[in-house]
Amino acid sequence: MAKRYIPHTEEEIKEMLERIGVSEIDELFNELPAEKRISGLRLPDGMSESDVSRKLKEMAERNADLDDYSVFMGGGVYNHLIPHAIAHIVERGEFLTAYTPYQAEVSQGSLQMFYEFQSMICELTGMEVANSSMYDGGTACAEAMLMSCNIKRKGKYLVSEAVHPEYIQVMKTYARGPEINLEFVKYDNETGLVDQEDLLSKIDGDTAGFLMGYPNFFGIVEDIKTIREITKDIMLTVTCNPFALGVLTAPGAFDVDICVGDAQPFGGSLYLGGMSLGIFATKRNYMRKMPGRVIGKTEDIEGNTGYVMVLQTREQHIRREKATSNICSNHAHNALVATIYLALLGKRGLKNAALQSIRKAHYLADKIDKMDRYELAFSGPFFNEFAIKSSFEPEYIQKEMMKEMIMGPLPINSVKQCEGWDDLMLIAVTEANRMEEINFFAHKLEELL
Amino acid sequence: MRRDNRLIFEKGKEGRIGYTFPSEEIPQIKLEEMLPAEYIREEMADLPDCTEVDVVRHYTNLSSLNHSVDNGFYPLGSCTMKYNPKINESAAAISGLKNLHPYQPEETIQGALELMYNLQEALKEISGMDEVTLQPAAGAHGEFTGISLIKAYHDARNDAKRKTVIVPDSAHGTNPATAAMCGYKIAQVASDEHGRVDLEALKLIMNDEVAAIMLTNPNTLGLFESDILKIQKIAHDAGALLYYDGANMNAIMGKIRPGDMGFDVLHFNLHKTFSTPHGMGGPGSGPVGVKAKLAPYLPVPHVKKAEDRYYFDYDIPESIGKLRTFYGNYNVLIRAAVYVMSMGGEGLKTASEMAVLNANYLRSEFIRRFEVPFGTKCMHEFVADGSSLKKYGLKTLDFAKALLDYGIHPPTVYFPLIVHEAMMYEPTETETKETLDHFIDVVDEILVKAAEDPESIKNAPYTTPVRRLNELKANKDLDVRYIKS
Repeated sequence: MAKRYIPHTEEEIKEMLERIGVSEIDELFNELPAEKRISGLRLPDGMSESDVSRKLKEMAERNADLDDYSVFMGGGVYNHLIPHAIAHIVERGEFLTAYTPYQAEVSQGSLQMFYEFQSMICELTGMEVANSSMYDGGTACAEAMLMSCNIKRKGKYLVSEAVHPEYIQVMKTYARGPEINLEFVKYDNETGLVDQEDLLSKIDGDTAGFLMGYPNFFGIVEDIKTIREITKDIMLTVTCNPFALGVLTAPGAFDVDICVGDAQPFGGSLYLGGMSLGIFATKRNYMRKMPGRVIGKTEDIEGNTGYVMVLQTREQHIRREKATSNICSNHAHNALVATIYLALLGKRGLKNAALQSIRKAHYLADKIDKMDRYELAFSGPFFNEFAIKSSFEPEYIQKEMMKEMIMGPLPINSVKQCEGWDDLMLIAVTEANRMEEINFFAHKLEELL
Repeated sequence: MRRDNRLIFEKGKEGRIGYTFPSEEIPQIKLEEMLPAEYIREEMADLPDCTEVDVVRHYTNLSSLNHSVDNGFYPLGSCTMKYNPKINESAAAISGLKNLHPYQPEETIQGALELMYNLQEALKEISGMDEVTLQPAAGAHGEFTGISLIKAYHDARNDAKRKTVIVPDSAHGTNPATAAMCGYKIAQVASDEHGRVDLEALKLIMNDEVAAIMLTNPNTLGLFESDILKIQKIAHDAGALLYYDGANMNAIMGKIRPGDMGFDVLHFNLHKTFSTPHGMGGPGSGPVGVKAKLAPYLPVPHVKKAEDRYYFDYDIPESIGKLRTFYGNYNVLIRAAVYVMSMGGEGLKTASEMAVLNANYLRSEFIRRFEVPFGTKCMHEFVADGSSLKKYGLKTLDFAKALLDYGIHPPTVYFPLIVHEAMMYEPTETETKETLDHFIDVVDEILVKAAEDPESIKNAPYTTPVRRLNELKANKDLDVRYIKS
């Protein structure tokens, strides 16, 4: 009976059954309706570690490992340099195999780390309070919408069409239950920025809030200041790439109400976009309306500093159907990754990485814009990602570049269910792209026939 | 040894750095040329200034303050804190599985898609459902997906009068919270004297305005809802659907399948049943399985196979849409897929059998020491009542805290709500008999102390990194971030 992860010997099973007072294992299952019971699962036999590894290797070989490519593909998930120290710390079982810090006395490692994470997110976003993580940028946007409608007690919500299309799709899904009327604000075809007139015309007495990107899906740095003036009576949410905040002014400086985003760029690997890390920050006044876990500082009975979960009365395990959200598990371990990343880079490191990214991106954009068959799609200011148009088919360019071991540009129509963007492509540049590969990429684009 | 409890912000020194970037000739374009002046950050975020060794020591030391499955016994009920095999971690670190962009062409991720497809197929077999989506990021997110699917199903049939979701009074808090998020009213059904859904009470509230009933089976008392087929009939006769909360699936793999019991939708908790690490609270993964009648509403995209090719199917016209960005917590899916490969069908069945054996063994010891309300045996977990501690002036919480001094994680306490001084134990199948026996010895030691010196239990724990924490102060001060003084 004993297997790799199941320790019971036949002898022990006998002893235990005796102690319980039954004669065989199946007696423990006799309350299961007999007519529905099965004798087992039609699945392959268990494999040894070695066989599992071989099978995985086969699967991995049928993927194009981007470690072998120059990556210029972004669209919400970015390829950055990842310090080696991170993997070594986060794989520690004490972090990896602990659960939610319900027992604070034996969870101070997790709790202090979350407190540090919250502090870092507040610092970066310029907001007053942050929670200890959400699933991803998309669900963080959806929760920001729910929270805004809840605070304003209004049923209409606006979102910029220049927000990541998958974020918008998630918001649509979340809007259905509470019957939120989700309306879309156009972007200016020239600049790629939110169309302010369209926004103004759509705000009415029933509007709870507005959400836009910073940078937006096209990499454009939105004019939060002006938008804040237009939206002074409603909840303004900004979804940011927090990595960009190494050089961009913090959204909090413009008095936004909620700042969300996806912190995958902080040390997260690509994983098909699965290693996401939603961030959620707001004003202190709104703290009790915020979804998710929040950690606070306190003392133990001897006066030693310690940390515990606070405001649990907002959460589902206490408040049930009146909770601010149903979120229970979050992306805690990814938050650990981000915390260590930010601790290693420090204030100068993050600024340096962001500065390198924006400079390299502008250098490449400038080169591409000068080529006959390509042009930048928008005139608005951008961070490390930009949209281009070309007389070539986007898929053709992508295919040709892959032959040169370059992944990118991203044809926007490969982001499914996007309409009207067929000719646009996105190029993302980070500090991980060396000048040599940037020049090579530019050269190959220009060479294309 | 006195602990250095400074924050990372209070360590290091201005000028130090823990990671450097390649030095290369980068065009020194000025920020002013790239960004409007207002959007150039003036003040840098106050992040730490530490070297790598500072950071490694800080977080290594923090990690040592945690209890985890790798440290010791963790019988936290409803959370299935089983051992997380290390090969899962090695698998997730394989470059060719990890370094994949969500938008790179499908032809270049065939291996990853196969892994996801195979996992879907395995989950279908384990649950008896017709289709599975891997997109939801966690159990509660799976519930949200499942109830959204149910809503879409009723809406498509123009059955708009169904405004209520029924949950038992023993349900996980996420159940009512989820149903509320999906726009439903909640009706609670009481448990009967056997700790199971009260059929008569259910009949009274079941009508054609009920969209669904959410159940976990075994329920949160660790009891199998033996009337499940009757419940199923009551619900289906009224046109309501049955939702299965998969939090407790570790009890039934290879023994019975929710799909065969009549459930229409369910979510899995891969971080519970399928051994992916809990990571201090996530990322988890909450795939959702459905019967064919709900398949038209599944989220996009859905991983499919055509001959030898795997692909993302976006052609689901009546889909509820997307639940999150991209395709799910793929880093977690890799680990779960490896677990299924390692265990095989027989292994998963054995896991459930041994999980139930361990729980019953522990229960048989507990009934000699505590009141264990309801039933004569349990499935993978059981709930004891700590009310007998009252005679020493103690509560379940005190007992739980006392366990901490023995390096044992306490049970889930004060849940389910229908048992007053509830303590919910789930030992899981990966624990040895020695561990369980040792645990019982510890329980006895604490009970002796409780009788002789209850004060000492009231003040436990003593040996943990901190002692009992002042939650009132924490909620009053709401100091939730560091600010440089």
